[in-house]
Amino acid sequence: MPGTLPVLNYSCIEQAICTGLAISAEINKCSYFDRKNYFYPDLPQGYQITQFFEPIVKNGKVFINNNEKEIRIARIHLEQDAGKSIHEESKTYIDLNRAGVALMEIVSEPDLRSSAEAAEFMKKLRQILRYIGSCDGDMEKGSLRCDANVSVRPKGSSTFGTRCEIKNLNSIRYIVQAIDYEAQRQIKILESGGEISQDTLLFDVTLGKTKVMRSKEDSSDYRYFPEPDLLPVEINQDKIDSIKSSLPELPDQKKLRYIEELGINEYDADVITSDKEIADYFEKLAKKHDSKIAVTWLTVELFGRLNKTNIDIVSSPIKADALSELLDFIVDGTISAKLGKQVFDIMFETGKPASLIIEEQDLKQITDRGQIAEVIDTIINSNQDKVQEYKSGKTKLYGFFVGEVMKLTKGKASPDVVNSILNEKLSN
Amino acid sequence: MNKLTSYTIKEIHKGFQDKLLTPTSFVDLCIQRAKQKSELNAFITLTEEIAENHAIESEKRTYIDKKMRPLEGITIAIKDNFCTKNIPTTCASNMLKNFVPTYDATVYSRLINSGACLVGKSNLDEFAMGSGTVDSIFGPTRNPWFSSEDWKISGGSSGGSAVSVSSGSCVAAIGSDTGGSTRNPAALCGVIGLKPTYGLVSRYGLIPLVNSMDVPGILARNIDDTTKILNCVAGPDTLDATTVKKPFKPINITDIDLSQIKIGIPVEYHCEGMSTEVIGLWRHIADLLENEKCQIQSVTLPHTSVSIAAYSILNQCEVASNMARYDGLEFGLRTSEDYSTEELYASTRCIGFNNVVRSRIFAGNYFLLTRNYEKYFLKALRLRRLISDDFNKVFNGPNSVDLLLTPTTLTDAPTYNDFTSKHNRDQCALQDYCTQPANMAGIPAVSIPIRVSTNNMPLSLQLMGPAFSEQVLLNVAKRIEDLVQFPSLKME
Repeated sequence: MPGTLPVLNYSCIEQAICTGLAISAEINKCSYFDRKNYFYPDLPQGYQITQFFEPIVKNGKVFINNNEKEIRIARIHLEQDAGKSIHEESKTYIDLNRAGVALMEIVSEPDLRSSAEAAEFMKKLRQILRYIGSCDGDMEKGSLRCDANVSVRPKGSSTFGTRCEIKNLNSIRYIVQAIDYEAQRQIKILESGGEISQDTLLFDVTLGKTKVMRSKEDSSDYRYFPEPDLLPVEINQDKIDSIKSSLPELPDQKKLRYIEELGINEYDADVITSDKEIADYFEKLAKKHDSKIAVTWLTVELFGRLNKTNIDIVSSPIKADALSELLDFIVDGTISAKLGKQVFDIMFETGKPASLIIEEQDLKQITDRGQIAEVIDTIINSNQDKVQEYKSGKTKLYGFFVGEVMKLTKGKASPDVVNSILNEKLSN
Repeated sequence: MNKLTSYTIKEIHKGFQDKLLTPTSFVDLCIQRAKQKSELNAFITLTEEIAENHAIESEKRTYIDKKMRPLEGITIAIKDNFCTKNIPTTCASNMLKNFVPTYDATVYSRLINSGACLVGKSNLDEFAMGSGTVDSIFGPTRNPWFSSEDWKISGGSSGGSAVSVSSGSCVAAIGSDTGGSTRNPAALCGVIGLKPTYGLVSRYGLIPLVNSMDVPGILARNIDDTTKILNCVAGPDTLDATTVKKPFKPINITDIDLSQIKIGIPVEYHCEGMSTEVIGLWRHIADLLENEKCQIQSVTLPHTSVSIAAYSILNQCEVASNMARYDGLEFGLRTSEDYSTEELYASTRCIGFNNVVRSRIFAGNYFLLTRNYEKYFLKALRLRRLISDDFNKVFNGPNSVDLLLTPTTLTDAPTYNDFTSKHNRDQCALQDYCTQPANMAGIPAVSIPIRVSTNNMPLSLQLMGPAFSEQVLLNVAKRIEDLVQFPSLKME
């Protein structure tokens, strides 16, 4: 609308600083905005406000492949998102709902050598962004998008080949597919003596092929100049320090701590730190319980159910506090571990707390020796033949007696007590 | 009826109190005047019904609530490049001929909240690009000081605002000032024209020409009224990031001691094309102020002569970008061209903009090309810095002065025929010579009518001061106003 003016959203500035700090980058104490001028139907102002000359973040790094490889980040700049063009046969619709919304563009140096590394990098970046909360990383919804630049060169060559940019890849799978396809396409051209033209491409997901969106010849001169409606963004060291001190523990730090301090194996540490929500869940459990028990219940029981029902951890029907309470009952012997799993299933389905389920279903473990001995006597009396068989060497029948005890006590008998009494009685 | 061209806000408010006038009767008088003088073409849209509604509310506040606001019942005109909700805002362009904004510019909403009544939206050069108010799709605005076959221009680009004030259709008007667009028509029509410090008054809702120089300007018939209007519109606005965050301290007009004021006469403003009458007037007022014990000294602003060239490059660069939003898709004109999106853009922009706008877009895009950026845009920015430094030295360096006194325009109002014999670009380079440096530096300036020329047309001078010096600027202007006793326009 003519006459309206842009206003900076300061929380976006903070998010950018936060992200910059999370990738050990330099924070530019005086960055400013520029106009990138071009015509496109989904760009209602006819220019995009971006940071071309002085981005807010410079020179960061992200590590991949088990921290063995550093990927340099050239810059992070803030800019306005454009709208969305929806093409349909002979018509084009424009959705301006996201036009003008702030976004961070994170630009890496040409340090990635394969589609696998690119995928690894994207995962790592997404993990960091989610940890610090600057992006939910949802590629499907477009809150994280990727433009991949691809070039190939003969083995041993030290100069990069001509690159093509594949725009708007919206899943890690497509990033891999698109890069692999594009690399093969370029190799074929070069091997048949051709040359790569520096084009901007789109990836057609149904065909699995890249296609030219525009070639370099018709790329426009963006006529950048400083945005006169916004003042430069000045950030003082105090601000940077205060953001730095409020930065949450990052995935790599967390993982290291889990391995070294909690004695969790690397595989589990990786799984748990892969997502901040999982790590947060785990830490609530581990606050009260042995970390090994917490890991097992989290990665085996909870993940098993969540995966089966396709629910993510945030919407899990069993919150960390509730699971922690269940573990309390198991640890203090109120219920057996086996019954614990039963209770867990009921909790997952009904959302009821463990204490209520145990009470309602009368699941408290029986530890009273007299009570259990009575049950065992009944079983021995009515199964004299089996007792004889057992005594004559068929020790496999031991399991049968345990099973009978559990049957009669509805599984509530304490296995320890059962074993000790049963052993005693059968050896007489 | 002749009082309409001389009434002050104070007199009108006294009239309301004594019931010689009421807000509704006064608004009615102004509307009648605007209609009678329709041949001046000051208005693009007369908002009679809105003015009447505003007046009814004013009347209620005045007599029933007995809570008068500072601009209660005061009639205003708003240049038609400020957005007004549900009222067409055309920029005098085919592009926005049917454009009705969905929101109010900050300046307008603050005036209405202060009790003002909107008489109409005033004429301008298309998108405020011009210095004559001759390049409007609604036709030129005429200067009310002269009526014959060979009529004179009003100046521009806020010509409609200046004419509406001088001819008595309203008490005050809002213009915009990018290179002199408020001061120039004010000078040629014999009213006060104030360009406040950049950042003092919100640009929110002002359809931009050059964002880094645009300022809402105030046109009124005297310094007291100008000050009252400024006090209502100035101050921080969260919707415009370039407004200063410091709370605004209202200006007050007092009896200042002129012997404490140092005024500089910048020698570089004595330029080619300046009429002997204007030069004489300039000298005369300098003498007059000296007689009043003001300290007058000549100063130098060495980069003045290159200012207009740098101004014009920066102007065109920002214009090229600002005009990009008029693509026929979201609002404004859209042609029926449907061969391709690019063709739709081209035909819409070709029909929607006049030659002046199109040529500025063209030049601006050329200057901004990667290969030209350093050569033109960056150089112009450096010159802008030098011009700003010139002012800084004069206001803050050794032998500093408080204010500068210069002519506003080089001559009195030219005839339409003379004016249009030159290209818009050349006219702007000539007409804006004395005014645009203040925009380059962001400093405040006020044009004050001094006397009537031998052609019987108003002649004016300009005072400039350092950023946020409105208090002293307007107080000295007030003294000059008192000394010269410029006559109000006599209308039959």
